Amino acid sequence: MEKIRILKEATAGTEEREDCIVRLTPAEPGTGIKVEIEGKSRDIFRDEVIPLIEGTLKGMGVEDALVWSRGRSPLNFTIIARVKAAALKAGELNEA
Amino acid sequence: MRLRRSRLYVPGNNPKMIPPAGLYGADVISLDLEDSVSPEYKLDARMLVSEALKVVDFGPNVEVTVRINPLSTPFGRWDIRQIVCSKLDGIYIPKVETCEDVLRVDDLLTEMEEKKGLEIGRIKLFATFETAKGILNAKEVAGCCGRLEGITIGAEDLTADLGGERSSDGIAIHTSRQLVVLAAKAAGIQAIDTVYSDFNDMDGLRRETETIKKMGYDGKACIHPSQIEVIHEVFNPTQEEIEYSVRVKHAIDEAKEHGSGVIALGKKMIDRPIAIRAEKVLARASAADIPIPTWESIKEKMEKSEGGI
Repeated sequence: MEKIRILKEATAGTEEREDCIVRLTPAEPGTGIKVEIEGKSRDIFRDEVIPLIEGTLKGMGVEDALVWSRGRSPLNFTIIARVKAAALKAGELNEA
Repeated sequence: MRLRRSRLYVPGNNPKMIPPAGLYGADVISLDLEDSVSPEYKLDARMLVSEALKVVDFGPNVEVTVRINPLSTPFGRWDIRQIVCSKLDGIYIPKVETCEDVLRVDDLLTEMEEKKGLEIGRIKLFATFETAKGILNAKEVAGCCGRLEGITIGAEDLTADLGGERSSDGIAIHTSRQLVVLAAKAAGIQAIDTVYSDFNDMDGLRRETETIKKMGYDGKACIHPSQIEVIHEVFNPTQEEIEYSVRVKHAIDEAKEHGSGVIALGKKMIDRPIAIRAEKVLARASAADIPIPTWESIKEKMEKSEGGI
């Protein structure tokens, strides 16, 4: 798979209920994907959410990125959508 | 016959509103990437709708559609590329003015269906006219593409383009509504009306829906789930219409059985338009899961009443 670089900081999503904000920031090559989560249910869902975010980014070919996310009980499809949107804004990706 | 009495708009960038969209009973839902999404959120909405289409179960009877952005914007092409999937039933194209506006979407859609290994042509198209030019080209547009199953009006933009004013009597768009329903019926496709914007005014919604039904429209768009019930009430055939249609059908069947060329119901002749109308009423009742009584039960009911058969 083609390697995708996160070139600039980018954000997707909103602070509304059942939504989340995802912010991606460039990271040094070789440092991997590091995820930081905020939100009321952070401790309950982090074991599920972090692999979901990492898996989504890896599926897009992203290898290195700093991810920050704050959610208000988003469903998985919303998290995936917000991660993908942020990555498309931050990197050199083609949507299709 | 595909029932499209109601079409509920769902803002495409609102994750809270998308999963329950199929629960309100609308015949069609339209996940909206256009007017309800500001330019800075277009990509967010596109990805959200795309991911939702993959996993959200909207129910077995609802037609799932997306209103894309026009191809004349930087967003429309990406919308199609991203949202095409096996769960998508249709695409609403906004601001259609010419056949080209529909055919370009058709081409891109075919390209994406091929690329994603989907059945070519299963995803239907619906064109929305929102300018005077579009309305005047409705006749050509309605018949230009095999995927096109319906045409509709965008009242707000159309009224602005006409330089008119939106009012409860709909006078500014009255002629446009007539032209669109004429174009649709001439092409053998459905005419679907615009939204009634004041979702607190159910009487106004009912009046407008009754008017457009009389004009020949097949359905109406809505912006709030509370509008669905009123729209369905207006579009559903009444019990009286259904029973009359069953009687008409029985009279036709009986005349055929006896080889009679003259068909009558009581003292009234049944001509072709009455027969066609009865067929449509029964088809609509059947599609809406409204019970259709048997001829025998109607006969029994009438024999008990004073009027007899």
